[in-house]
Amino acid sequence: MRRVECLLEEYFPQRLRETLQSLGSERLNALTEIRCRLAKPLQVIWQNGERKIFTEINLEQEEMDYLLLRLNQGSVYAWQEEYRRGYLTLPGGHRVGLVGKAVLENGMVKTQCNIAALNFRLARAVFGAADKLLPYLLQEGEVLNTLIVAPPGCGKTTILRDALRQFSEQMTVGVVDERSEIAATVNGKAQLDVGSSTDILDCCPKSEGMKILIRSMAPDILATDEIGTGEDVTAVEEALQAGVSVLLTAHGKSIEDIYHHPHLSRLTNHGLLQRIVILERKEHLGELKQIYAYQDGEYLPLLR
Amino acid sequence: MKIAGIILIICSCTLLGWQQAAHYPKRVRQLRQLQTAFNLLATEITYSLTPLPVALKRVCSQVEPWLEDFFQGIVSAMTEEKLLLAEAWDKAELRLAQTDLTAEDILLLRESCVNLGQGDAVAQEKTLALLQQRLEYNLGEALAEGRQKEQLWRYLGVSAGAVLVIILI
Repeated sequence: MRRVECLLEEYFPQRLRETLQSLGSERLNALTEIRCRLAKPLQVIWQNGERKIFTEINLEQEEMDYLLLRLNQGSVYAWQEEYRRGYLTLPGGHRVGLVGKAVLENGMVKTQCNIAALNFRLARAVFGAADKLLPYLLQEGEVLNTLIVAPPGCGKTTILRDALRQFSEQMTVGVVDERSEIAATVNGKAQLDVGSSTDILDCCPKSEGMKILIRSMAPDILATDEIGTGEDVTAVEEALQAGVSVLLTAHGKSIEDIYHHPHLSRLTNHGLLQRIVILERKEHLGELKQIYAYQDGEYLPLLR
Repeated sequence: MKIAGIILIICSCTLLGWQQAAHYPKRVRQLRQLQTAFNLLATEITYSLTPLPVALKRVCSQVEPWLEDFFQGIVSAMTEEKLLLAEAWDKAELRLAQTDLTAEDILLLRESCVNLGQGDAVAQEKTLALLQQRLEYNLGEALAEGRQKEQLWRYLGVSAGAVLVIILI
């Protein structure tokens, strides 16, 4: 059975399962998202942005209860943090976003209840996704400090994951996977291939996790996803002082977004990043838009 | 021949009395085993925040066979048959019929446990603490009952055998 069919079998109530199966195995396994909203039609989205709305299939409360029960294994307490963050990771690396009513404590979100919408984001490890990029990231056998920049959904994490997998064949890689997006770890096992020499610190805040990994696992390359806060940047600076190469990603559309970012600009102002890679999504995820190299105090484009 | 018959009747009745008496210490032992098992489960749930099916499976390897069988029944029903805890509990509960627990003990377990999994870790801790209190209460009762009735059943077995012999002679 293929990955999406397994997911349907494991988590979906009969009516939704049968509706989705009616798409046919090929189309079903090419899906990137399945959106379930209470009392609203079931919706699916493919990689190229095409979407289909099953107008006759409005999600009933019993179906939402079934989905949640299967997702939380009848153990709400075990997923309090995931409910608070708004997503949970499934075996196979799939991610389920969930929103309902926020429960606040001292003005902070403690958890969510009355979940009304689920978004199954289907994971797919793309082997070779970073092939075109890798030659630009290496210099004399060393990995250059790199920031991969793209808007959400453009394939930053996919590219990063594949780069780590390939680098880990020759070097020790440490990954701080704060949102379990890179390796999709479930019960200590990485669900997506990040290489055989990769140590994953799962669900740990990036700034703290980078320090822990350097102290405990002495990686050659340190990688993390979606940096942006002042603490993250400070931790990156410390990692660079420790002589570790870093592979990072951040949200943005162009190098200007990084220049004007209140925290990330600290990394460009001092030329700490040797490569800045801009990705876009045209026909495929993670297409290279531009690669900038730091030379003589400025970032110069490498792609013509 | 007559003497052999008398001995057989007295021995049989004595044995029946002893068997009946043995239920009391067994119930006490099983209640204590339940307390230990639910302590282990509480650790899995409140400290590691392990989902119920996984937590029960882990506890299985550390408890007596009768409890392992019971917990395993719940796990199978929840994971393979995709049942709710309450439904899985009802199914596995049949396995407790062969133990020395009373109907009251079994009902207590059901009432305390079928809502496990709902709410946060603090709610689980409270539920399991309450279960321990109720088990402790039943244990006290079982000990008192054992003190009163264990000896009684033993004497009753011998006496019933003797009375039967007298009637038959």
